[in-house]
Amino acid sequence: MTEAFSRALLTTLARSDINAVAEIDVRTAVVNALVEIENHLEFGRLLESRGYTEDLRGCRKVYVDRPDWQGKPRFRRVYWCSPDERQPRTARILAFGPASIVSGIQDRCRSLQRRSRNRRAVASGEPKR
Amino acid sequence: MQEVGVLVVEKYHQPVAYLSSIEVFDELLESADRHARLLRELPLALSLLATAIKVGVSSDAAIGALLRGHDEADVLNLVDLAELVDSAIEDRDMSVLAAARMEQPDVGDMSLGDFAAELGLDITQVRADVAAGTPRAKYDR
Repeated sequence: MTEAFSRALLTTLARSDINAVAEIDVRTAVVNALVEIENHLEFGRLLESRGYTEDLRGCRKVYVDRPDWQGKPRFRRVYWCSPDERQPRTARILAFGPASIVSGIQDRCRSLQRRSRNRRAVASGEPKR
Repeated sequence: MQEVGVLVVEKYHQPVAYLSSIEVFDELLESADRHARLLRELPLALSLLATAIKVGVSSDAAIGALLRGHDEADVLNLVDLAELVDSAIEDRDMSVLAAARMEQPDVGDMSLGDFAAELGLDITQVRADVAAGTPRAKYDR
């Protein structure tokens, strides 16, 4: 048990991030996700650096939410597998917070294309989608 | 112009085309509709492409997303491109945050067990739930 305990460590700032979330179910989901990370350090997807930051090798992200949430999970977590991404021994949880603030772009695109399809469906007498 | 077909297309009361069947007329309407939608969606597509390049997405990946297996009723795949842009912006923001926080000393780091206890959760129970596959969280990676 102690071995497993030491595999996921939370920084002070990451703990503050999590404590700032009011929903208890979300905090439970976060701990659940931490257990998953602890069991499998490569649980999250690698962060793509795209050349605009420093060396972030070993940094991974996971999106999480309470189990009954409909839609894309609202929160994301970033952690760093140390000492090396090829042979990780510990996950250091760096940050937690609301996911993309720009996801409205996708919704707008979906809405625009849905309106276009519906306009066409109405014109041709097909059922709306 | 040879006068054959069942439909006459007129412009300013002058015949400009003769269509052989109503199906041809429908195809023309559909084609016009696709062009109209393309014109409506193009400004947003261009704006998304510019943003994608700005946040570090390669032009190949951006164009690929825009044209990737879209619904045949749609002209462009705006949703996939928007998702790519979203993800790139988020990765950029998270990278900046992660880079700053990696510099923090680890003296205040806390183990998962201690943190769960701080939240009032029984970590043994959570571990058992995870092992049993009881859904207590929704993930996306």
